[in-house]
Amino acid sequence: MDYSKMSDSELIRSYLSGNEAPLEALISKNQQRIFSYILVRIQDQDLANDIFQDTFVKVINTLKRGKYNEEGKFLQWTMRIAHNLIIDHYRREKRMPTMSPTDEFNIFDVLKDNSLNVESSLIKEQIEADLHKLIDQLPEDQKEVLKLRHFSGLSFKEISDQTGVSINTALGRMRYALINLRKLMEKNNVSLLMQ
Amino acid sequence: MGNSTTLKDELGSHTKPRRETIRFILDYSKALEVKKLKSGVELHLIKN
Repeated sequence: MDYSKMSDSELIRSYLSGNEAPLEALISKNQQRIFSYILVRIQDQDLANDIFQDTFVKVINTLKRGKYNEEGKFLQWTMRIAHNLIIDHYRREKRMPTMSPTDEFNIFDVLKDNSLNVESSLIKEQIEADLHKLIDQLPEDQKEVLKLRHFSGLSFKEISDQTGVSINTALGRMRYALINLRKLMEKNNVSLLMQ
Repeated sequence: MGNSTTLKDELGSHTKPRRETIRFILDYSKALEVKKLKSGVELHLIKN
């Protein structure tokens, strides 16, 4: 059977019916994008291979448990798993420093540490994604004011003109949006602070 | 003629996982068996 012409969904269906060969085709088809995604963020071939391996172990576990439900979006789903594993890696690394500087020698004097920037940008990316998910749960009128104010940078006068409500109403909606956002953060146990 | 590495191979090797990484994943998939008991408990078995 020519697996190279099959879509990801077809390959997954065939794999789930007990055929192992489509998995190789699925990996072959997507490996470059997933591996590059990991390598760019990790900048270490060995670690990138480990994370790629762990990503597919999770993919296989989920598929074999019958829990996969992202039809047609295999690549995005797999990238998300890889992304979370990259974040886990940086969190672990931060908790487990392997070297302490002495008076004579500090590794950071000779090595430029890009990983902290990469970590910060990944965490920032995650925080933004979490924030957008929470904002999407707000009532439409509150969501609109909050987005116009914080993402489009409009003044309350401009929001009032654009939405056709008074400035006081726009201010009130903003106030309720922030109150509700805080409640949603507590309910979902979400922290939007970079530590 | 002996084995030669082209520039394409060289560049490609940096944007793709190693063969042994892929081999491990495929072997893991073949070995893993997930069974669900009547009680709802899920067993992950690794076959030899």
